[in-house]
Amino acid sequence: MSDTEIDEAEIDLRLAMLRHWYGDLLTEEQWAEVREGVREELVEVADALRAVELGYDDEPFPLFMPYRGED
Amino acid sequence: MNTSEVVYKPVRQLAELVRERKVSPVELTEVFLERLDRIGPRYNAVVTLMPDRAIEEAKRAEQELASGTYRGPLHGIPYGLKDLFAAVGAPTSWGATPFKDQVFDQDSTVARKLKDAGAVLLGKLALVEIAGGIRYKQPNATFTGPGINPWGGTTWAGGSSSGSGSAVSAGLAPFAIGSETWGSIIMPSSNCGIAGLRPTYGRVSRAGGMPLSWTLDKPGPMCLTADDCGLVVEAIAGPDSIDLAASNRPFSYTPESSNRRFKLAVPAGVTDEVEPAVRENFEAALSSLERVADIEEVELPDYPYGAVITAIFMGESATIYSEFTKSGRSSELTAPEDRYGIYARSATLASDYLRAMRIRKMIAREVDAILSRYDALVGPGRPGVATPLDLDRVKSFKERSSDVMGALGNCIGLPAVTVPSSFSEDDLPTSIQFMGRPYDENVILSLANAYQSMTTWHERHPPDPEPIS
Repeated sequence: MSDTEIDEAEIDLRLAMLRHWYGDLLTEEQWAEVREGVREELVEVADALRAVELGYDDEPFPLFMPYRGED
Repeated sequence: MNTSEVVYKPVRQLAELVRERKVSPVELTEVFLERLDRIGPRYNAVVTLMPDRAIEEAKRAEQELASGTYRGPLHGIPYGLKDLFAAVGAPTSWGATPFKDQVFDQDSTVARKLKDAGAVLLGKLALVEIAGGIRYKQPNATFTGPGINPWGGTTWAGGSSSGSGSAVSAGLAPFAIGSETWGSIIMPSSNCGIAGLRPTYGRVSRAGGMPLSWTLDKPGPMCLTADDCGLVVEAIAGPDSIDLAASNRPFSYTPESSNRRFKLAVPAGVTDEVEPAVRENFEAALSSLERVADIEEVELPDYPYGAVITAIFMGESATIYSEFTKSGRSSELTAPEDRYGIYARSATLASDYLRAMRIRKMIAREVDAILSRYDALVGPGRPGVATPLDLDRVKSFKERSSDVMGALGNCIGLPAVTVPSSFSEDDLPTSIQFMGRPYDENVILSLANAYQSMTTWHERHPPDPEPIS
């Protein structure tokens, strides 16, 4: 992971979305843990990924293949 | 037949005994069913024994052998299946209470291929719930209890293929099938002092197995020796019309003779963060390997391997388990941290996932260019020995990123095999791993075979809780 300062606002924005979807399923104590998960598993990860330079021609591995069943 | 003659015999030797009809598949099956039933619970290794199916398959093997039909080295050989692969005759629990009674009406491709090879399914083996894919932080993370390591009753068998590791290590099954998304074959094999092969992604069909991350999941064998891993992976490899990622490349296990010198690369800094016993035993292993290989250090490209694999894993598992997440049924999971750990990943951004997939391609190209100059990368199988069962900190995704070979290898689907490399002062196994180019299973298995031919660590077994009669 990179050493840059983590954007706390980004953590809170993503957490707000999760609470909107699943708010009543977890306790406040559990939501505090989920916030740590958002930090470690998503925002810190995204931060490290954004530090890698990519060119316009750097495509991902192909995810889609046209499919044709047997004729 | 004397039990002591067959327990801890590698598959290759058992196969000879079966082929020459010195050992009956039915007797062999009865021995291992009894051991799994009697000793398996001591290690929390078993989810469901399948005696009816096992005896039926063993009888069929016996009849076929008597009539002169020989299906190959797995014919009549019993095995255990990680309980995330479907098999007719038992539920497929995925190690998780919410899925405990789940039943599939057909075999997973792995189970079907092993049946076609004449192997005998003994039962379903324990695993960490949802294959460890939530956020567990301690070994007690499945309804069968923490996987106990036969080498030290107070240490962890490892995860997620815990039961596969402990069953083979304790002589409860001649071989087992595990699966790896990120560490789940290599880690328990290393902890339990056995050989484990993580095949190239797509070498073995995932069909009928629990999906955790579509582009990372890889079924593979866990055995007493690397040579046995070769025999098993040949039986389960190959294309599959219901898994489009399954490779069409043919595979037959053809280990190289030791007539040529191998060329190995040690990633720079690979022992910087390992335990002293692991470092010491790894250096001794390299000294042994110098008899058959030229070894040099190599710098790997500087990429955030852990971040890339984490983003891919989070994005894929979030959508696979979106309905489960919404249902709130994670509250039924065993580990308290798994009950909420699945929620965060629902906020994975598509742009982050795709960025990771773009970097993944760059990594694959650059690392393959390096690997093309060598037969394999070599490093410790794991940074440490088995951890205590009461440790409350299984490494997080972030911490696991420091295991560069694990993060890198899984990220770009490279095959790796781990075998024991000695023991710590506490008599816990340490290990070495060989990681090769995609589809180079024969090369890495040849290396592991060469290493095992020079060492005897794989011939040591944990003390039996009850002496073998």
